[in-house]
Amino acid sequence: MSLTIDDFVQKEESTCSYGMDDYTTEAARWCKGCGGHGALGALQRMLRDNQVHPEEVVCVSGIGCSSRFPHYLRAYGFHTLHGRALPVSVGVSLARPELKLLTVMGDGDCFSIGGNHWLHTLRYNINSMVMVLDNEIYALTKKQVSPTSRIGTVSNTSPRGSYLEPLNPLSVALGISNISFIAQTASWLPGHMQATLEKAWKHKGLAFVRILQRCPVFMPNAFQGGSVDFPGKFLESPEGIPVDKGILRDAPVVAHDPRNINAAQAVAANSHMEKEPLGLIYYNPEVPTYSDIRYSKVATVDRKAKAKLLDDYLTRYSVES
Amino acid sequence: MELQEIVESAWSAPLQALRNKVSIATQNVSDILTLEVLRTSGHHEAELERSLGSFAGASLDLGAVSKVFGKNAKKAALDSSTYSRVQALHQQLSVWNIDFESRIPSCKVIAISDLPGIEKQAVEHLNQMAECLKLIRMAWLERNSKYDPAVHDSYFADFNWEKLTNDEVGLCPPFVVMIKDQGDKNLFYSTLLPLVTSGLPVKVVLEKSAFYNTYQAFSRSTALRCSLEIEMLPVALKGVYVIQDTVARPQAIAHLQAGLISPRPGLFSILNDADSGRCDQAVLSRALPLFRYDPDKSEVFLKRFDLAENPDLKDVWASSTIEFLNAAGKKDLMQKKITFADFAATEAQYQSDFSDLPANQESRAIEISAYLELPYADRSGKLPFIFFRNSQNALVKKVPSMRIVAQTADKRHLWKSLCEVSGVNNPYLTELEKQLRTEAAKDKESALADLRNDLSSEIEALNQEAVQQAMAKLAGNLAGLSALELGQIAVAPQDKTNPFKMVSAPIASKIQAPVVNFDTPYIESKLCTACDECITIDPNIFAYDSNKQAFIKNAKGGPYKNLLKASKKCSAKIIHPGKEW
Repeated sequence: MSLTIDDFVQKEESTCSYGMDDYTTEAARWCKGCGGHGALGALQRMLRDNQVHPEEVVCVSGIGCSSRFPHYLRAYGFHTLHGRALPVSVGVSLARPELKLLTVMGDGDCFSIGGNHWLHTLRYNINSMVMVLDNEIYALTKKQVSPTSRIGTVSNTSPRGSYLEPLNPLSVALGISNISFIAQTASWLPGHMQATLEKAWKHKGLAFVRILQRCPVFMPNAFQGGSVDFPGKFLESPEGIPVDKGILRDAPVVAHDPRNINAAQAVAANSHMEKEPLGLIYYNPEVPTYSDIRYSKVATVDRKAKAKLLDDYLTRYSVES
Repeated sequence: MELQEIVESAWSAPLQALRNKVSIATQNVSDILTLEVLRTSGHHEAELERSLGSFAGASLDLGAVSKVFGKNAKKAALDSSTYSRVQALHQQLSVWNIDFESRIPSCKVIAISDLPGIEKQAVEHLNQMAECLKLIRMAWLERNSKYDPAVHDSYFADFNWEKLTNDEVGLCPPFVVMIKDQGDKNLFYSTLLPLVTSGLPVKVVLEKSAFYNTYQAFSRSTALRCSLEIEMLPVALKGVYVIQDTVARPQAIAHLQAGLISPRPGLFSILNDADSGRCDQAVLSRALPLFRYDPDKSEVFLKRFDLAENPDLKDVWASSTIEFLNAAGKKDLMQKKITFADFAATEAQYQSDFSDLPANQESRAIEISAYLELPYADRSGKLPFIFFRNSQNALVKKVPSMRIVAQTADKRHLWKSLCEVSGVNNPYLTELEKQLRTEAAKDKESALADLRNDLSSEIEALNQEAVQQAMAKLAGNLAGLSALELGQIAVAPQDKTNPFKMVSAPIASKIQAPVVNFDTPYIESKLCTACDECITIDPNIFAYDSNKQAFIKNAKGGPYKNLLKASKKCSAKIIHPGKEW
């Protein structure tokens, strides 16, 4: 295969080799033992391995421990309001579709206060990797139940234990139309997490990745403390995420067809009852993104004509002296 | 389409891609300069008005906006040397961007006599292209802030086409020289060969229209005067990309394109005739064997030399069905081999070389394809002829002149040589195949005979055993013995050891467990979740590696209890503290 001019330029770009430092601003100030460190490290390794230009990445987050991501990732960042990361991401994806968009939220941020935005952005299928770092608790505000807290979780807002069964974000996401990518991984599986993020990064559309992580201070025992005994099962398929058992002692590997929505829903629905699925749960790269749909309908905006229209309209109300 | 257009269209897509890249590179460098202007003076009122447009400019208090923005304005983000370097680069790229088309020369159509001076022009063209790629490369380095004057200044100072890699040469619009083949092979080769062997990736398109060959009209069918054939050129010049094709074939454009992006010199012999029927006939009659020689395709010569697109590849002459009117005036079909003589009979220049077969010579007449298969000794007294379809569409026998016969014999010889060179027909392999087939047939026979023998001896043994068992049973019955007792006196079983039975070989060596030294502390870094636990406990012992995963930097950097504590605290349980020292 002969070299094309695009390859030539790519080659020039590849000579600019980026290291971990090029994606790092400062030492992350999360508590020691926090899964956020692992998620950030896996993301930085993935960006470095793919030699992504830091100036082409935009990281949008909401509020919470995990939402401090843009501070630690050397890229363009937008630390938005509580629950409002996704509306900002929709704006970024529409205004600058050529940029690589990353949205980071926590479980409270995404599933609770940002729940409505989450549902509708999934339906919009914007071109963004959406990472939800789920530790089953509000940790930044020092322990309040979140939508994914297990029943009976004792917290500042539920001193007698929480009363409700947790929300199953995988099942909810799979019930939304236009969903195109759902994967689940865990912060104590660095290899699997990096592979998951890589697959999500390369997906065109909304790649929803739920990262299970424990909070060493307020929820140290979530997910069996992220230990070797964590009950996980790896989903294996030819176009899925390579199985990497890491520290897990007993994690079965099951065949799964991520293109089959019924199979994906069955896996998601049982996730709380039996073993947590790890890997690519649902995948449909054919779903068009919202930008594609919108840009195909309106080729260009005639800004001049619009400005003139507004000008003319306002002139009608001008008072002539 | 004109041949020149075909050559240029073969290159149009990569040229457009290069043109776009020059535009993008210019824009990128321009953006750097614009950004610098905005950083330093973007807050000025005039600049703000320009950026916002007249409508927004009139709606806002630009003085106030300027005051707010002015607080964060910088003197300059780029140092003066970088700024002037980017400015110079922008200037050069802008010139390229404006007259890109005029800087890329089209095919040069020249006469053979002008060939000697062309080398200099080729070098100039290649250096021009190297300049273009250099500017694109510099633009991308500037865009990514990776231009390092200490490294790149000297590298780009004397950048010329010789610094380009093979792949990069393939990106440059090629220097194409187009020459009409005027039949003077000696002049052609004496001027063309020095050009293609000069070490420059020059592409020569040789436009063929007629088939000249200087054969004397000797009264014998062997050509004594030999000339260098372009088809055999790859054997002599194995580093030159050579193709021979016709404009009538759509595949020719793809082959041309592949040749034009090759970093090697190229020679493209193309039959240029608007009459596609004539082109097809030239290919069919082996007057113009199609071939492609790509020096970079494989290390094996046979795979580099490709004859596959010729009709009836395995045969000396290709066959074709011709339609004619028979003696009764009805349409008839005839399958015949198309030789060079058949093609020559349709060429105007050879008309005088064909005469009607005299009626009294019928007994001596033999079709030319059969004639040329005969050994020389058997040819005497024979008169070769061809079937020719005349203007009334009737088939007549025509006798070619000796020079046509000689040329046909020469083309046949050439085709057979090409088949051998390209591996279509390898006489050694054919011989070997025959030999192997004979040996295989013999082996099969002997294996069958052995099997038959084994089978008959086994049947005999089984028969004997059956007879012995029957006898023993009969004797038992007669003696009134039970089945158990009968078993004890039964005939000792024969040795039925199966010669093909797999016997498990004794295990030669025992698998040894890998030696792990548990005394030395270590971390399974690949599994580290980078949770900061160990690093916080003792940064003198633990550190992050280039993947931001922990490793033991210095086990004795702190007290052993810290190692133990970190090992206990590690959520992934991957710190092995080893033995206390």
